[in-house]
Amino acid sequence: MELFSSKFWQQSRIYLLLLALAPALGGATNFSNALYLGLITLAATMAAGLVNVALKGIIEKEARVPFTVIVTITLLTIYQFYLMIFNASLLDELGIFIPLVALNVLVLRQTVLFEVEDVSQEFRKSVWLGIQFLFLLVFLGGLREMLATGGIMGTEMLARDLSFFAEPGGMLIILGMLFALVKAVAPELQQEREKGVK
Amino acid sequence: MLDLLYLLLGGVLWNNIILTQLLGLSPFLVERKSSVEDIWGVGMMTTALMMASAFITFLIYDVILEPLALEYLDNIILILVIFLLVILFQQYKKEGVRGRRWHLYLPDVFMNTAVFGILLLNLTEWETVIEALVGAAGFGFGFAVLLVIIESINNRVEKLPLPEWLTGIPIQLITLGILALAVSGFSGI
Repeated sequence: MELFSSKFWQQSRIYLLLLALAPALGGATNFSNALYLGLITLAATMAAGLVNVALKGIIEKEARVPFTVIVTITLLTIYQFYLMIFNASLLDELGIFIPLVALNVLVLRQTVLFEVEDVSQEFRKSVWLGIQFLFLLVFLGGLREMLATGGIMGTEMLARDLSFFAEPGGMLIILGMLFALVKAVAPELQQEREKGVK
Repeated sequence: MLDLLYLLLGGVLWNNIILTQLLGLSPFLVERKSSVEDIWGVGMMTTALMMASAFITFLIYDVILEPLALEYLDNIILILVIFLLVILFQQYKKEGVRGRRWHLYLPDVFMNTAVFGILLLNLTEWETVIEALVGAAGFGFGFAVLLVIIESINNRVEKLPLPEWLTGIPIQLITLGILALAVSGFSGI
């Protein structure tokens, strides 16, 4: 299926991490939510990867992406049931961002596992990407909470809060400025993006 | 009638899915060179996908899931419907759409969390099929308008003496942020 040819998913690291932010950014309103979302994404990535490795050679080429998405969303639905019983307040806070993890690029990228020879290396690479994504998301969520409320997890850090950053617009401006900073300080990252890892 | 107009305008302005929920950001996190016509085509394709999936999933939810008390299956059904529609759209592309390069953006359209997000957020809020269609069209237009605004700004920024590190994704995101602040002014209506 040319729509999801494996070449698309083997784009460079920064491109993938940026795209992976898209479904999770709205949910990362504070430090703990960002941590939970990052961990859920990492766990979903690993689960999808393990299932794909186990069924390598059985799933037809056309059915690979739908299969991965369906497996992931089923697991996430089960996790939602768990939260419904044991931690309803977290379910309320994360809301729609739990099912959206299934459309994360890092999860969809696991379809590459069906095609590559060296499965273990590819799997480790995707777990490493998931960990990097976790750190990035926690950093963004923590930064947002610090600017919006003046502290992280109840610890005072700033003299005054800037409630402007609690709104979605504030988050977008933070992200834009961070990206400009990265581009200004380390232009070689940009070149890596253009070349691609492979 | 006024309710429908409210739904349509709300999707474009004060309920804009990108600016209020930060969903469907993926097209703005990528640098690409494309013409405004192409981008408008992508926006309209996303709108069509949103409307079609809203229509189908609303019917499935109302006719099958709710009477049989199977609401917990909604996530799986929504994803399946969206996926089937994307495959249909791909077939349409193969027929040839006057040389436009829409297929380059098809992965974006599928991964676009806005389509899944509006269904998750609004499927139980819409009361009739007409409301579902109009509401989805509103969200789609909001998305398409933002795409065109950002693309036009990109085309202009190229001619400005901006520092190199600010062009591309940073200026796109900062512009989106300012737009989000502007749109939040409508929220009282």
